[in-house]
Amino acid sequence: MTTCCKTACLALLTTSFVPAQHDHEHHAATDPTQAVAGWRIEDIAMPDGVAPEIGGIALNSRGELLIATRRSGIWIATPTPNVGDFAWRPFTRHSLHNPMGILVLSDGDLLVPQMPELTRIRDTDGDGTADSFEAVTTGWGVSGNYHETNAGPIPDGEGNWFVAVGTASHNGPTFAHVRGEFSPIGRRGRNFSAVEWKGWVVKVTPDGEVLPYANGFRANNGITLGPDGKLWVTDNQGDWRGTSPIYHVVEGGFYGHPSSLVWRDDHPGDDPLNYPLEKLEAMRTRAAVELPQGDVCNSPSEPLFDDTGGAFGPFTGQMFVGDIAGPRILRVMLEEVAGVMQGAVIPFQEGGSMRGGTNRLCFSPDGRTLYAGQTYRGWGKPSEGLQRITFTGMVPQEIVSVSLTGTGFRLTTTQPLDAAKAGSPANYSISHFHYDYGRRYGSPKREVTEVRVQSAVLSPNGKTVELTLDTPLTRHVLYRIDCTNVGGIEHPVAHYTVNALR
Amino acid sequence: MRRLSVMLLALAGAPLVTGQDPFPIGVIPGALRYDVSRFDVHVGDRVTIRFQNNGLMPHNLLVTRPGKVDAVMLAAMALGGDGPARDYKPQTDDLLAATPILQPGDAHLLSFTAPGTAGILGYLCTFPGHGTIMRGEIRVLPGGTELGAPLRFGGERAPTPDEDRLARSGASAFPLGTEDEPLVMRTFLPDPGLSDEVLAHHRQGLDAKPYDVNSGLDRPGVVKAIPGLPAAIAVNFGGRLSYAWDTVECRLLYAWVGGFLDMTDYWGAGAGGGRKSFDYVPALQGSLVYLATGPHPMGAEIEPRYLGYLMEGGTPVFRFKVGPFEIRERIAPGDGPFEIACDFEVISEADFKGGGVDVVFQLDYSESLRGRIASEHLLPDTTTVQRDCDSTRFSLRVVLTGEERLPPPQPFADLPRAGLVATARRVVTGDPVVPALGIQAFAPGRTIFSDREYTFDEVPEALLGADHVPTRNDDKLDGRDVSWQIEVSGPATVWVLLDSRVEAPAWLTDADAPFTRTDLVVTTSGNWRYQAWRRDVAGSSTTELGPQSGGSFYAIAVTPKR
Repeated sequence: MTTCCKTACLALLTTSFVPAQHDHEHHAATDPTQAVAGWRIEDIAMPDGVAPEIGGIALNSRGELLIATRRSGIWIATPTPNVGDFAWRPFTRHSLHNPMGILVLSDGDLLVPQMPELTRIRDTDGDGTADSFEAVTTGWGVSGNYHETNAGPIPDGEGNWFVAVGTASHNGPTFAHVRGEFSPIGRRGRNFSAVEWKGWVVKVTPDGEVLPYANGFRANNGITLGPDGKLWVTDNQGDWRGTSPIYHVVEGGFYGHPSSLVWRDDHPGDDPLNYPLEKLEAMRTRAAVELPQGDVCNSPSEPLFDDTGGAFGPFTGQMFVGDIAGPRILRVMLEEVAGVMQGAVIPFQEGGSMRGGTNRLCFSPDGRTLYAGQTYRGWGKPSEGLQRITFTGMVPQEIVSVSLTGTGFRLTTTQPLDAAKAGSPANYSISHFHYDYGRRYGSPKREVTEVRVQSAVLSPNGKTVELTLDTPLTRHVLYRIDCTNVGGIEHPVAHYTVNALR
Repeated sequence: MRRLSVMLLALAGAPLVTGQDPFPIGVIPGALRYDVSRFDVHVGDRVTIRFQNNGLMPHNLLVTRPGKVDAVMLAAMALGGDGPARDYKPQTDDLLAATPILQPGDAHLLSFTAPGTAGILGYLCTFPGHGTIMRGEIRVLPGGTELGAPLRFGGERAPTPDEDRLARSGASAFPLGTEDEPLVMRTFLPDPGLSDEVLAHHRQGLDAKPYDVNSGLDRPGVVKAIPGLPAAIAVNFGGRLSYAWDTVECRLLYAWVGGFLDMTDYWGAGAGGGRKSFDYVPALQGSLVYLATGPHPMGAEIEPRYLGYLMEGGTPVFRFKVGPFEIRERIAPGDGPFEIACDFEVISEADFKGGGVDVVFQLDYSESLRGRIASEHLLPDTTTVQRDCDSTRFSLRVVLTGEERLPPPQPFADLPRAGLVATARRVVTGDPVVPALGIQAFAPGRTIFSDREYTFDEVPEALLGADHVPTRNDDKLDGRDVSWQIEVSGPATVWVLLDSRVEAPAWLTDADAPFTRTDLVVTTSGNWRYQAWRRDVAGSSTTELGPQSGGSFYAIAVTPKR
């Protein structure tokens, strides 16, 4: 039944903007597999005539849901129990240029990053629609390349906003007249930085100044500040990206894609694409977590930390990440080892009713529901719209956390594992591999190495298992930990990125 | 310069009422198009059309029975020298109604009764050279069915019914505003030929080399920096006025009438998705009426800074900073046709009256806007605004009187063609055989194919003025069994122009009377080269040309036998 419903929806979406008139609530309620899964996925009906390409999503203080669309302006609705009943109203019908975020300053006062500027969009006369579109900053260049996108803004806690500024792509041109300084050296390359701050994370001050913060990014279409104040940026597989990474970003850091180096104020004027790999390797900060392309994620988007205190399920403090190019949302669990951030990724929702294109995420005020705004932004076949994922209250059997020990990994689960199966080392299939760092587009898995589990010790409560490997742990690889044969785990495969050892 | 009457276009969603008010059809001046490309009636309706020739050339409007548009056009062409005297109106049962030839400015009512069965009628202009593109459709729908909104002029592609219905929402690739609720759009915009002086605050973007990620080396060739505006704002008031105001230059760059933007190449058609890789700048629809020239009207030396825009009475008011002044500029349709009213408000940080401010707000629109300036604050002989106003604000209004921009004159426009092709037929298995339309004189600047925009660039003298039979580039697709039959009226040379990337097909080299490869080369836009092959043929003979795959499809030319 789920499959039928999904097929029908997709068919409708690709042929017209008329919202799919399907009652997913009904389907979900009668579909036992949905109830068991722990989360119910529903398609939210969009207003007629709005292209449902969601670049930004946010809640205001009244609990209303705001969406920024790629071409149909910004719309507001009060969420209702029935996904077909959202009463959408336009905040503005003005067609913005690739808006890729919404920050609610107060009701009727939004910050929205567009291709050419960070715009403060306000309703100053209280009639419910925007009447002031103020350029907070125009301090980054615009080359005319379609691929330059701006994610954020994220408050830095000191009155400024972070914006993640993406590079241009060689699959499109640049214009003969650009805004801002043009660098012929920065223009070289597969993904490139022909104008200022492409491939950077910048800070925008309230008076519109753009302060460079960190660079080396490619398609950094996701940025968030963690509950502990750490800054996180996702990026997409491609040149200088063997697979898609998630970075812990600090001021002054370089994150591997060289083109943006041309805009450093100490840049000597040479071509960073020609730097020896060893030099770049020494400069770069590695990803905290890598997401294997094709297996786990294709185009990660906005990261969002679960701050729901359990309302959304057992993953408080973990990070959810959407995938624009696949029907999934990921779950990332992070830990600090020897002063370095690293961790594991496990699919959270994948396939079934989950649609591709998930670009932006936000939680409902009660924390029970995660909203997923979806768009391919003209990258590929449309897979767009708005879904909500609601915790049913029934906790499925999942791996809650994966952490590194001195000799292997410690896994905890939501429910007790079968003692016999979980205690048998043969039921764990573990390998490690790594990706190339270099100019080439993506990378195959390198040096895939099987690792035997020497022992698997289950805790008395049956929810923690200590895996000891029969070979020493190694750095700068991903460990693939497959617990399928333990049985009963909804998402039994985790990938753990090891940057440092205990 | 007021040469044209105002053009008001039917707005999306307005249902067509037939039998009462005449349905208005005009033309897109300079574009050789009717401003309505399709409208709906019910079976048996009494339909009255008011055709207003608001264009620059003579036009008529003939309504044809279903499927008879080509037949009527060919019959009109067959009138030959009798055409002008007969208003290019052939004697045929295929016609339901016709206007006479209308001179620019004239209007005419015509009425007819829609057929009693559903179908699609055609209408066209049979003035020589217009009939292949100046066309439209009248859908005759069963009684009681809902009539769709008329389709306005749609450039290369007409909006689909869904896109038309959604035009006001921004979900259509053909978005539209109205005079009451203009649509404001941030997007890449075309550069219709603005000078570097106008774009003084932009930086030059340079061509680049293609790059090979595997070797890390540049590849041969060039990635052109294409024309486009990275950060302008487009505003549309319906068919009456659209304009581009730029946030980098802080000025009005150009204005156009008759349509807004075709976003298909950037957003994709319908539900979207497909972006045209290296050519995604949206296309202007309609006619350009104003193009900025010269430095910023407030002076070449200013460094304007864009602040944003406010919505006042539904119209955007752009804000920018010049020195100690904040300028607010509101641009909206003026009173007259093609008139654009630009209202400026100047707000000073300091009090003018109190003195101490020694900056003069200077507007020089004499050249740049080719308009007149009306303001009590202007000195009679200059365009300098006095600063001794008794407040920190003053305003002035500039009324631009637009001028329609005609397409650039076509080189070799008067070149006569050889006139040797009696008929040229494209034969495809399974398709009806249709005589080729649009045979024209072979010359630089002319389009090669009926389904592409490529044009001839360099043409050897031997081929100038040849009969050029437009072929279809898509016929190059594999497995398409296409042939052409070229019937000539006198001794002639038939030329096949073969894409230099393509190996000569067997029929060109192996036939009983093979073609001869010559040294002549024709180049085209995009820098493609075509090698000329020739065969001399007798008068009243038919030459058959075969299929070809790969590269681009061949072109056909016919010259007198030499």
